Amino acid sequence: MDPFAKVFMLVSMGSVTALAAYCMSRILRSPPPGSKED
Amino acid sequence: MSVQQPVKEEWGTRIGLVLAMAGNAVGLGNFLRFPVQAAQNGGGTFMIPYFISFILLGIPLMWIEWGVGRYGGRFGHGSVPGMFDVLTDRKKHWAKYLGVLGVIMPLVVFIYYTYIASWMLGFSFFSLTGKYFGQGDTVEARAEGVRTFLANYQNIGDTTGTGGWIPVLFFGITMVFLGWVLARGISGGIEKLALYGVPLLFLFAVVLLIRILTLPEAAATPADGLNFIWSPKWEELGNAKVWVAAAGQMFFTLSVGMGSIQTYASYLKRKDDVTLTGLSTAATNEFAEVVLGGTLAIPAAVVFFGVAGATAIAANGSFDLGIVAMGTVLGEIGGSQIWGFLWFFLLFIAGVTSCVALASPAIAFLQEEVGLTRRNAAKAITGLGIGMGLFHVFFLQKGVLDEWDYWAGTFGLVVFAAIEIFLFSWVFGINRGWDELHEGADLKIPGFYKPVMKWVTPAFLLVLLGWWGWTQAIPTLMMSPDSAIAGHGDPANIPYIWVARLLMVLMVVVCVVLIKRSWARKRLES
Repeated sequence: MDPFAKVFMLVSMGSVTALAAYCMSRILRSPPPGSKED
Repeated sequence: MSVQQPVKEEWGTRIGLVLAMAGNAVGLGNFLRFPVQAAQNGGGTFMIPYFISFILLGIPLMWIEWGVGRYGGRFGHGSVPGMFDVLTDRKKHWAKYLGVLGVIMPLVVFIYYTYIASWMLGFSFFSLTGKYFGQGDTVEARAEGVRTFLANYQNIGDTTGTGGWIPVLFFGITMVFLGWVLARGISGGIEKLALYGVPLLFLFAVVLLIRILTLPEAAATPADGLNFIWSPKWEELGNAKVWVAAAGQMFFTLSVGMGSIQTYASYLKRKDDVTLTGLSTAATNEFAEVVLGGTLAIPAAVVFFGVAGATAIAANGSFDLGIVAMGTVLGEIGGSQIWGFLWFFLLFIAGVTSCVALASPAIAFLQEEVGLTRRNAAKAITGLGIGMGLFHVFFLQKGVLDEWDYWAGTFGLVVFAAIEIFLFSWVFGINRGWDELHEGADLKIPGFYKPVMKWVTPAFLLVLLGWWGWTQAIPTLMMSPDSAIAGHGDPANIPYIWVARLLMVLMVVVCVVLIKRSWARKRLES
């Protein structure tokens, strides 16, 4: 595999995976819908 | 402005909401359309405008749609006409009529998309029975066998335009299943489907990914397949078509510009977060698309057909890749029936989780503007879906599905998104909009997104609209030789295409009349 293509693929896949993992980890620790209402 | 009764239904859990939204966004496009677009538009080079579109178009539109939906839901509106009305503080009477697009477009897409999802159910079944595997001496001959099987399934080549009850059966099963889920409501139906379906979809995709990446060398290796899809062709970066293709893919993949995100968000409470939830939806979808979608179909096709063969397959479009090529490839490896089932059932799940979201705006509309119960609204949409869906089942070969797909599932998305962002950023006002998005927010949106939402995304949309309008929409509307729809070239198709267009117009007219009556009734009541 072309070295540049490999780096590009890994950076792209790594970025979206990291973003999805970060968001999901925060979602799983957040309160359920409706819990912030007075 | 009087505040009406809020929508009664609500989401049960935050993860259920995110998975339902992800189920909406993750569809056939992630696994079929994305790899084809990347392969056709410069490979790795495509990813540069793709990620720029994600940042400047996809994420801001996602946040805006969540914000518009939650804001509309506060006033009891679960569909876009009412949401657009409150965005203008009920001062611009035309706004609610523009919102018709946010009901009819997803309904139109729901009807034909359910038919396509039913193919995947059919192929899941025929994978288990091994019906379409191994017809021919060479891999190319076996691919031709799968292509013929698909064509027979779709009735292509049947000059009477009728016949073939098997696709009708699978279409009926899919539509009735969707009607059942929709009738059970938000937390009891849609959320439960997402809680089981979306993790199953990801599990199937990861299992298939491992299998495909460990395939032995045939015409090429899996690494050659990844190289094919990720190697940049720098000369393509200056090609406007590549940028338009990347921006277009962002619409399809995130399901923005449709109307379904707003309906799902309308079931949130005032202080429920939309910023983190919106970003999570977009990020989950991108994971499914870039990591899973980019690693399944194209690398698998390259292994058995070589780079030249996979290029030819990609040029023939998503279904040639997803059904013909993948059906052939999975027939070549041990345990074909199971692998075939996993692939097509994955696509079926991706399809139905999107279908329930697509039907939701019309159901919410019938509930709030016509006064139907959810159960009756679900029955009405299922009945309409079966009736109009059969038009596609029997006349697919006449180009009627392509016609609906172009206007409601392609060009219409950009038109709708442009209207929506104009109302949000310019009529409602970006400052109010920004505050509204941050109500109860678990994530602060970076400040640079404020000018992006006001200037950059609208400008991006106008350029896209102008480009597509000039190069595609007008020739397609006129059915001229450079139309975007191949079926326009056959004079025998023209009457059917006109019927397809008239059905869409009829749905818009009915929706406008219902809005007019509903608003007149509300005026009398107030």
